[in-house]
Amino acid sequence: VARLSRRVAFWESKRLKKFDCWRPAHSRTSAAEPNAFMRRMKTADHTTPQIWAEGDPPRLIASQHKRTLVMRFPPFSAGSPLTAEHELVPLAREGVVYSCTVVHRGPKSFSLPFYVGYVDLPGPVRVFGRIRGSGVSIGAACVPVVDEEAGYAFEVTRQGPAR
Amino acid sequence: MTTPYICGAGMTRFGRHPAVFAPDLAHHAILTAVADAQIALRDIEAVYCANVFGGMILGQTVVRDLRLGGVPVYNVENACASGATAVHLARHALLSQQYENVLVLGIEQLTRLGGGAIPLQRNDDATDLFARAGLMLPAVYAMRAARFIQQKRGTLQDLAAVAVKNRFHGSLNEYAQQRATTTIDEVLASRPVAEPLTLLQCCPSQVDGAAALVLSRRPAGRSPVAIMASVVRSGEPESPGDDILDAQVTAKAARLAYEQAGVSPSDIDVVELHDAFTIAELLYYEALGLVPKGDAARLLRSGETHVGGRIPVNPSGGLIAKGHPLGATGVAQMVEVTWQLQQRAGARQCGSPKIGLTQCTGGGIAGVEHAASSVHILGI
Repeated sequence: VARLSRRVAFWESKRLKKFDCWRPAHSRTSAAEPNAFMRRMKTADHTTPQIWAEGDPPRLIASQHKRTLVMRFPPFSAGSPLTAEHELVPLAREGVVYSCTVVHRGPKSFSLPFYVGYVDLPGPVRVFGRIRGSGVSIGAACVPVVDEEAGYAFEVTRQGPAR
Repeated sequence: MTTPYICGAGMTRFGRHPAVFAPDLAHHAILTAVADAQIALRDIEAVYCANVFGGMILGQTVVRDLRLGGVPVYNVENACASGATAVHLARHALLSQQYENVLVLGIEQLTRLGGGAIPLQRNDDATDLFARAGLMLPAVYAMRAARFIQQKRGTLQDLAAVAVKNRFHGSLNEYAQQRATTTIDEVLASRPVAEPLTLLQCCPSQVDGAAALVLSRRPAGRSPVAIMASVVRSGEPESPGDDILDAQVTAKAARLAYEQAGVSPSDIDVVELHDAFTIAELLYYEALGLVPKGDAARLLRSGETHVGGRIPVNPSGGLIAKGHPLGATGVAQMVEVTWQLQQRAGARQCGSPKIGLTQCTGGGIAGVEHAASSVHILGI
C-alpha cells in the first residue's frame, strides 16, 4: 500500500507540473509562496506607479501583455502578481487628443480651470491626463511632460484641425 | 420560471433632508410601499438595502425599529446602479422560491457629503493616478459631449434641450427636487462645470431620498407589475479604438434585457433612464435602441420623448430634475415606471403605457467606461 501511494504521489506531481504552465502566472508564484509575495510587497511603495521611462526627453511607460500585446497605462506596480504576464514598454512621445474638456468646478486642491482629455498614443493606448498649452482641442498633437500638481501631463505641440 | 411582481411602491420626495437620520427617510418609503402592496410588515421575509455612502449595515439600522423579527438583510452597493442591482438580486431569490415577499429599499443622503462632484473611489493605482490628474465624472461626460458635438451628432442647443425637457417634467412631479422650468438660453448661460456642460445640465449633487418596492412571487396588491427582464452588467476594459459615444455596457445590458423579456425597443411605452448629465440621455437613446446610431438629437427634436409623445423619456424629471441620491435612484426609477403603468402618475401620466424600461449606469473607474449597468423591463 505504501509503495502504491508513493507511486500515485509521484504521478500526481508529474501531472501537476505538466499542467502548471496553463495556470495563470500569479497562481503559480503567489499561491505557492505566500511569504515571498508578502516580502516583495513590503520592499517598496507599490501604490505610486512608476510612469516614466529613463532618459530625456520624458517618455511614459506602459505594461504590455506578452501574448495579446494589449497595453495598460499606468503600468502595473512591480509588486503586482500580474507583472509576470506583462512587460514594460516605453510609449511613443507624440499623441493626438481624442477628446477634451475644461474643468471649471472641482476639489479645492486643484488650480481651476484646467484642461483634461484622452490622448491616443501609438501602441495603441489611450491615456487620460491634464493637457497644457494653447489650442487644446480634439485632434491637437501633444507630448508628455512632468507636471507638479498631477505628476504628468500633456503639452500641445501642434493645434488640431479647425472646427 | 414565473415572473416576480412589483406589488407595492413608495418613495419620499427627493430633496435636501440634512436634519433627518436615514431610518426616518427609509421608513416613510417602506411603510408607503407595504401599504400599497396591501400586506402587513410581518409578511416581509427579506430586505435588500441599496446604498453607497451611508456606511456599513445601514439596512439593519433601518429595519431595527420595524420589528421584522430578524429577517435577513442584504446590503447592496453598486454605485449608481445599486438600487437596480438590489432589485435584480431580490428577483433571483424570488425565482429560486426562497421567499414569497421581499422588500427592496434604496436610500442615500448626499447632503452629508458636503456637495460638489461625487468623488471617485480611489481603490486602485490607475484610478488614483487619473483622479490626481483631474478625472471626475462631470469631466468624463463632458468629454463625451465634446466628442458628440465635434462629430456633428448634435449641437449645444440639443444638450440644453434635454435639461429643458426633464426640468419641465420635474415641474409636474411632486416627488422631484427641482421643480422650476427653464429655457435653452438659461441652461447655456448657467455656470460652466466642465465644458460644454453647464450647471443646469448636471444632476444636483445635494440630494437625499429613499424609495421602496415590495416584490412578490405571486401577483398581489391593486395592480401588480411584472418584472419581465432584469439585467446587471459590469463594464469591460476600454480598448484604445473605442468610440466613447457607444455606451457599450448599457447597450449590452439593454440587448440582453430585450431578449429576456421577448420584446423589442419599439414595444417600450415609457422610459426612465440615467440622465446624470444631458449628454447621457442622448447617448442612451441610441444604446437602448430607441433610435439607430446618430439619430438621438433628431429623436429629441421631434418631441417624441416628451410627456405626451410616442415614447416619453424621464417623465419623472429624471436625475437632472428629480435628483440622484445614488442608492435610491434605481429603485425610484422603478417606482415611477410602476406608477406610470398603473396610471397613477398624476400630471405627468403618459397615456396608458403597458411596458416600461428603466436603466442606470454608473461608477467611475479608470480604464472602464462605467463600473455597472442595469436595465429592467416592467409590464402590466
